[in-house]
Parts: sequence; C-alpha cells; structure tokens
Amino acid sequence: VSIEPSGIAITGLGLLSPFGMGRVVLWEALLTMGLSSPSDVETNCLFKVIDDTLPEAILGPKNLRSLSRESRFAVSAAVLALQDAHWTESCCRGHELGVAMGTAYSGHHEFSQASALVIGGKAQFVNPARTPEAGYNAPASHISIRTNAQGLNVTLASGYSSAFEAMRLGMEEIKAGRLKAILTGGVDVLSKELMTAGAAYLATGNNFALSEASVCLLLEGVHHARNRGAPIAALLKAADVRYSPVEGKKLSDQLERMLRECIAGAGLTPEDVDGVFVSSIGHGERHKAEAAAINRLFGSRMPICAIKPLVGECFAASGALIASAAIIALSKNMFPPKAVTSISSEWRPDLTLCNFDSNHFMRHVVVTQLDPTGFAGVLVLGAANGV
Amino acid sequence: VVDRLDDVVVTGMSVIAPGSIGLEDFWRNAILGKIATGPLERFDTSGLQTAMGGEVRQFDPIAYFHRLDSRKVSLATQFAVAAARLCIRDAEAPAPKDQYRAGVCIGSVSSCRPNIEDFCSQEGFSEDAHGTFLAAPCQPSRSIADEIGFYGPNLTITTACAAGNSAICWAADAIRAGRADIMVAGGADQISYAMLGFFSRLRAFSTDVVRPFDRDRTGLLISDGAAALLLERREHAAERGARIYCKVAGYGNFADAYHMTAPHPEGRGAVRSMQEALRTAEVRPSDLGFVSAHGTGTPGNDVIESRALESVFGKDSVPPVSSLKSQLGHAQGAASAIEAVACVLTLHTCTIHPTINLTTLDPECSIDVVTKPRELQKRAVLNNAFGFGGNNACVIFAA
Repeated sequence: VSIEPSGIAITGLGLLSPFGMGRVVLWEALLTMGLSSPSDVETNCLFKVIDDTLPEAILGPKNLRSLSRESRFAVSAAVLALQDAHWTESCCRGHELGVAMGTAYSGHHEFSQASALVIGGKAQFVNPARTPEAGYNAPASHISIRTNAQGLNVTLASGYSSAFEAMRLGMEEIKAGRLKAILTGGVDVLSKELMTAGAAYLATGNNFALSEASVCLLLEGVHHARNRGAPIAALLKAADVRYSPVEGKKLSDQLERMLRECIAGAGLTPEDVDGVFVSSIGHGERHKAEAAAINRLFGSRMPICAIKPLVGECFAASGALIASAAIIALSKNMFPPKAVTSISSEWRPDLTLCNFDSNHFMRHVVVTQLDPTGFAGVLVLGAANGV
Repeated sequence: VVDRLDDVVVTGMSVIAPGSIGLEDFWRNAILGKIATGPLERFDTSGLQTAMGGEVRQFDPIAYFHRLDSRKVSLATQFAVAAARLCIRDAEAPAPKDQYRAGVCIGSVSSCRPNIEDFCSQEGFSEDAHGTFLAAPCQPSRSIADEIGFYGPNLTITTACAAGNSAICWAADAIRAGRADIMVAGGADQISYAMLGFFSRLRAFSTDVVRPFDRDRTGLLISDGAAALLLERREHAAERGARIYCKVAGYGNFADAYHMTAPHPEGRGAVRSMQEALRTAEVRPSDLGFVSAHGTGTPGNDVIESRALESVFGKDSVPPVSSLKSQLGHAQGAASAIEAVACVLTLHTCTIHPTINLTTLDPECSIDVVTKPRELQKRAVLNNAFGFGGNNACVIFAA
C-alpha cells in the first residue's frame, strides 16, 4: 500500500443528460441554450428526460433489457468516462479500480411495481429477474461488473449531495492507497412513480423542472495519470458533504463555514477561487442562504454560474452534473456565458453576477450543492495546468 | 487524526430484532438459540412462497422519538432511531461537545422505500405519494441526526445486504480521517411486500426455518431489524471515562464484479475482503477465534462462503463459524449490523452463539459450525457480509 501524495486527477468524464451524451453536448447546450426566464422551465419543460436510445449506441443491444433505465445510463456514463480517460484494463489491476455512486431513487420503479403486484394479489407476475434492479445499488454494481472494477463498490445516499460524497470517498480511497482509480458520480432517473409524486410536489409551489442524468467521473492519482499519459481534465482538490437541517442565517453561516473549511482543506484561500458553480435550486430560503454565504465569502465580483435553470433538478446526479460543467469550464478556461445570464437579476436578486474575464486564467472553482432534504455539499476543483 | 484503525473503539450497542428489543434480550436469546422467525402477521402472504419471516413486534416508537413525528417516517427509520437512542444510552454518552464532530452512518437495503407501499394499489401509484417524493434513502441517518443532535458526517449507505458492515467501515473511516470523534453506525430495514414478492419468485425462501450450512437447507427468511454501534476515537472515549467493549481492528470491501445475484464461484470479493480485514487489523488468520458468517441458508451462499473461508484460513484452519440468521432470519441491510453487535458481545462475554436448525452439515461446507454455545478461545472475531450486486464487507473486532 502506498499513499498517493500527488493530488487527485479527474481524467474521464462521462455523462448522459436530457441534452444527449458526452461533455461536448453538455457544453454546447450551456453555450447555446440559455434561458430567458425561469417561467420557460416551468411551463415548457416540467420534466426533462434522457433519450432512451443512447445506451444502445454506447453499450450495444446485448443484455440491455435486463437492466433498469438508471443502470443502463450509469453503465453508459461509466464506459464514456473510461473512454474519455483513455483507460484500458491494463491501467491497473481489477481490485485497484473501484466504484462509488450516489443515488436518491434508483430502483424506485422496480420496487413500486413489485409492491403493487403483491399487494394486488398478483405476486405470480412479479418478474424475478428484476430483483437486483430494485436495489439502490444496482447501477454501481452493473458498473462494477461491466468494467471489472473489483475494488470498493459502494452506493451512497446523502440527499442530492450524494455524488459529492461519492467523489469525496473516492478521493480518500486513492489518497489512502487502497485504489488506483475509481469511477464516481451520481445517477437518478424519472420513473413514472417519481413523476406522479413529483408533479404533486411541484404543485405545492416548488419552481423547478424535474430532470434526470447519469454522470461518471474517473478519479486517479496525478502520478498514476501522468505515468500512463492520461489526459487530465481537472483536479479534485477537496470535497465535503454535511447534513444541515437549518434555514436562513444559520444555513448561510454553516455553508460559509463549509466553504471556508473546504477551501482551506485544499490548501487555498478564497482569493484563489475564480468562480462558483451554484446549485440554485429554486427553493427560496435555501437559495438565499447559498447566495448570502457566497457573497459574504467571495464578495460581489465573483463570477457565478448556475446550470440547474437549464438542466433541471436531477436529484443525486445534480452535483455531478454541475461539477461536470465546472470541469469543462476549467479545461476551457471560460464560463458558459448563457448559464451566467440565465440567473437574471430579476429572478435571483440575491446573487451579484459579473462576467468572467476570459483573459484571466481560471485557477480554481468551487461547486456548491444544497437540497431540500437538508444536505449541503462543496467541491473545490483546480485547473489541470495548475499541477 | 487517528493513525491506526484500531484506535476506533466500540463503546455502545443496541439491537432491535425479531423477538428482542434491547441488548440483554437479544444476547440471552442468541445464546439460548431461540427461533425468532414465525408466521408473518403484518402481511397477506397469499400467493407468496412462504408465510414465514422475522417480524419485530411489540415495538412502540413513541418512546424513542423526542423531536420528530414517528408516524411520518418508515418503520425501518423508527427502528433506526430506537437503536440509536438505546445505543447512546448503553454507552452513557453525553450530548457531544461539538455536534459537528458527531456523525451517523446507517446501512439499508430498502430504507424508507416500503413507505410507498402504503400508497400502492392495483391501479398503480397514487398521487398521495408525493409525501414520499422527498423521502430519499437518507431518511434513517437524517432522522437519527435530528433526534440525537449528531450533525457531523451523515450517510445512508445502500450496499445491499452488506450495508450494515459497510456503514461501520465508513463511520470508522470518518473517525480515522479526523472528520468525527464519535459516530453512530449500524443498519435498519423492514420487511416489505416488494421483497417478499421478489424472493418468492426467485424461490429463495425457506418455508419453515432457516438452516445455514445444512445439507437440506432451502433458503432464507426475511426479517425486520436494526442495530447501532457507537464508535469513538479511543482518546475521546477515554476522556469521558467510557467503557470500551472492543476496537474496530480492520476491514475490507471488495466487489465480486461478477454477477448481480450469484456470488463469484470462488468468492473472489469475499476472499479479498477477508484478507484485507486481516491485513488492516494486523492479525494472523490463526489469531481469529470466531467468524460470524453471512450464512443466509441459501444453497448458493453457504457453499461459496465456506469455500472462501477455506481459501483465506486454510482447509482445516477455519475458526469456529456461526450464523445468527438461523435464529433471526435475514434482516437485510440491518443483518450485518446486528451480527456485528453479536461479534462484540462474543468478545465481551467470551461466548459464541449457536447456529440452530443444523441437522446434517453439508459436505460441501466442511467447516466447524457452532451448534451449541461455545467458549471463545481467542481475542479477535470476523464479521462477514455479502450482498446482491457483488457487494462484500468484512470487519474484524478485537479486544
């Protein structure tokens, strides 16, 4: 066992979102599909879903039917991440590659279907082949099997910050020398049950589109990545997730403390941060707390980016999708301009916005994630050429 | 920051299981070898392969809920909160000085998902279910935090039937990494119609009792349950003069990466997980005095687990083995947490609980299965947990 002292590299990024698959598609969407106002989201696109034909294009048709939608999307994202990282099985031994995925609702549909059948006296129609798909751990386990990842395999639930927890855990596992690389991220899809429940929830005045996504990032030690000549998209400098079931000033104080500690944990100061990718979920009080914490810590000149008005709320995959946007932004040294303008001043007066100076080298960005279940997450990412 | 894993110690425990609520009932019944499974009363079992299971009865959540409304959370979450409160009580732990350095990690298979069964009908999912919309799987760990004021690291971990052990590993890591001084770790689950339906259709159930390692075993029985262990940084425990049951000496988590329901034929992930637990615990295989087997009583698991044990310890050197599932059934994500408590009590009382219902040892499981209470001869024990999807988690506790 050797301790990895060189930092954690993000070498692969695979994602499926309602815009399509891959980082290029997401970036194009962020560049070209800015929203004029949040009402567009509410009226035109309450639910945003992933194209069901995408997994077949990535994985081929064989055995796909035995997988749930979330498992198909998760495995697809993992395969894309490995391709993006130029990963082959020879890059490490099987037990040195792990999987850590966050989810909030994986298996919801399979579980609900079986429940309804048994309660309705039709137990004989429960499909036994769907048993493992009813588990929260199905996506991560399918990834493990498909990619021969014989190391740690965990599924984590810390609200919509679950993907951040997966990334934090992955970082620790590599730093401790227990793994050489790990596929981390988050996945959640809109089952019909979740859409039914979600519609009722939205009717209570929660103003955001419900969406789905599957995101996988390949993390590995910087030395390991360099030694095999892998492309490094960005560095994962620090991550933290906490349960903060408070509101208002207490929440903004806690988030500010988290941000300070996470940035310090990365060996940085707030002055080293060049942009913030916020969760901005449309829950008024939690959004205000997020804005207040960011404004207090970074001041009013910090460029802010919010992608959820564009992509919607994709639950435990949200954090990983926002992080993806941040990683691409770092690698391209630019903020997605439409996303910046999409959180217009009349919609979100709490955040002070300014445009990013494209002549300025982007060193580090912070990603935040707040959710209605009370969890909060923070990531600190660094530019790869800052290694 | 704690340098060594064995500087994480167990200072409190509790169990909510079929037939026993609380530590004393649990251990007395375990040593007596009482069958806690029986006919299911909460469920209409028509059309199912079995009418048997392990229900927790005579459980009143009101006594354990001081802040939240117990009616608004799942039964599994009620069990989890009760287990956490009893665990804190057993440890005589005061409110933490810094609540952000006191955390919670709970393992679960279904978490609060059985709540949605209240809304199910033949027509499908009701709109009334919107209350479950926010009931993400983190409900057990969140509810414990809200009840006992532990606002440090918080996670519900869903690694199938290995989840209880996974939670102990994650919680110990949180202490070792310096993120927390004290953690509630464990598991919680409840029986659900969905799981009864799935396992019936898999023909994985027994129709009477569970017979781990028996030649004529036919399957498992599903159960309710929860267990919690209070893990502390050793110095933190010493500062408050806490009783220390044992240390969390080592653990390993490796995947089979083989099949969603079948274990790897050679128990690849299980073997690696046990070997890693031994390595991190810095003990030799011969130092172990007991293995708490995953021991589901299914034809597949028990043979593969026996094979894996022989691979790790040598053909005639496997320590005494017992399966608590013979008594309690399979409490899903709570199972390995309950079995972890049994491991700690085995160390504490120097007594190994028996595997019951074993008449004829399967010749393919040529291991020393304990069928009557037996004295523990050594000061380290291993807790095995394996799950669908190839999840494996093994933990060693040592005096």
